[in-house]
Amino acid sequence: MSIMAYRLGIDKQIHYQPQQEAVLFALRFPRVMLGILIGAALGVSGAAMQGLFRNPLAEPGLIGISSGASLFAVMMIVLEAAAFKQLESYLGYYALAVAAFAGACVTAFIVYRISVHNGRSNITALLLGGIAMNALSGAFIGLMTYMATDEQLRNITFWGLGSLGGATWKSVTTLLPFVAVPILALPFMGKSLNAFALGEAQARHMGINTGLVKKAVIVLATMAVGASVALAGTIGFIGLIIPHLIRMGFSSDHRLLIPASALLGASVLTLADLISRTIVAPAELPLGIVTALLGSPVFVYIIISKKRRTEL
Amino acid sequence: MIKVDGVSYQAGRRLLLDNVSIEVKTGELLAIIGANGAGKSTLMKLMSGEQKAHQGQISFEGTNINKLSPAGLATKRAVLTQHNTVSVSFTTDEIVLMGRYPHFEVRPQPEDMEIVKTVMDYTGVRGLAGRDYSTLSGGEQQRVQLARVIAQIYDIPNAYLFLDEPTNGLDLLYQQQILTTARNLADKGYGVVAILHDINFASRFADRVLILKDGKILALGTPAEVINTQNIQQAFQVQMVLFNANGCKYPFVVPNGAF
Repeated sequence: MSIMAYRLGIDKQIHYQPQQEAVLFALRFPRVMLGILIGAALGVSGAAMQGLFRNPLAEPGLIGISSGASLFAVMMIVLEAAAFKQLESYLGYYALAVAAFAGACVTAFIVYRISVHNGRSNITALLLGGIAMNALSGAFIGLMTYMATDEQLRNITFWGLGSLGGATWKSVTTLLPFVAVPILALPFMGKSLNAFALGEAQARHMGINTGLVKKAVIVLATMAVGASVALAGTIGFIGLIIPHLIRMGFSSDHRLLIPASALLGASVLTLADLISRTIVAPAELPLGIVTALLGSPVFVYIIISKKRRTEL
Repeated sequence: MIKVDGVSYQAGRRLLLDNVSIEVKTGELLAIIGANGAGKSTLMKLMSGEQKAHQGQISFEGTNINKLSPAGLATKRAVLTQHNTVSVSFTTDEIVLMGRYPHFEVRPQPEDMEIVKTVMDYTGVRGLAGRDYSTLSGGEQQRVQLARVIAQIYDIPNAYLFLDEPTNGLDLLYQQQILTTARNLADKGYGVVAILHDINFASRFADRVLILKDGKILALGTPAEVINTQNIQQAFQVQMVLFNANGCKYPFVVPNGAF
């Protein structure tokens, strides 16, 4: 507080120590910024995916984006292959992030290819392809874990559970374009996704270019989620639950749902990160654990209250 | 006018439609009847542009259907499909407003809202406004969907409306309401094509009846011309008896129980 007051010229006196200022600007701010970006990314992608797949259980990880990213990251940690080493010498700390992002793109592409038939992608095939790719990645991650040394295992756990601990200004600026583009572009898909809720054929009858919408949503979500997983590991439940909360509280209209999911996702993830940092201080709980602990009871509550509402 | 010229369509090796040619004019109600698998839905999918014909041509007012963009086609025809489940909860008026999507970019214009109201009155679902679609009965849901597709072409004279078994699973009152609405739309100048199962409803409401059998046209003409025991026997493998019921100028068909 006093740092802000001084910086903004409200307070002429310095009430803090220099290293406190350094901590605030070099560690806390980027971490909060990263949380906001990733939370928003997961929120919008979840909302768009649920709309596209006409399935309230859909989440960004469904078509294999997260698991593909994790697999590449884990492979990089464990195999320490020559190609990876070379990549590391170019990119240093970001090598892992780049590998994870590549993994996200590769799996999303494979799943999309599986689903295309006669030049048209089939939603059910897309969903099943995603499940298959998730299983395959899971198996390979298991294999990697089996081969890993103790030190590598700790690294793998970080990927599995997610953390904002590595936040720097550089990681924030790297992530920004990957998240900003989907957040700005996906709300424009709102009308089309509303039409998708009636069914894909119905959307086409209403003049929606369904092929284009599918491609755009998948590319944008892969961008946002792939980049998020690359920098912070897999963080579950945000993409699944945030859109449900907005639908319950406000409206299912995707034109509102998508931007609102970005806002709520950002706030919830920042809050969850605050909890993860403070609850077992000075140690830190992995963020994925916190979101799952908070998320699953909320999800159960949503299911029960929904059941009650439709029965009435 | 929609012109279907020598159209064939096959799925795998099975020929679902075999060299079908037909013209649909605005201001008429064409009923398509036939046994299951006769190609009724396939013909409708091709005519509405949902699928492309493997052979032959389909044109809307002289323009080849393949040259029309999805958005362009959406302002020439609306389609009511058989199964209409909605994956997330929308209110009935939100659903009907979706019919106006081809007509506005971001925000609905005042005239769009006006059309939504008029159409909901017209189909008798105004009282359901604000209700969650998933809590409605089957008949109510179907009428809301009908309101949506009518909203799509409401302000476009001489547009076409495709109805795929619009009365499926509905009770007599709803069946009659929906077909009366379809009849009125045809009288207003729209071209209406409806797949129907009930032969009597078809002959009561349609201007012309198309009977399909194994992907080919078995008969096409006014109800009085084509609804006869031979055609029905051939199309459905069922023997029927024709009545001339009191005060009804249409042949009335009842199965006689034999095969």
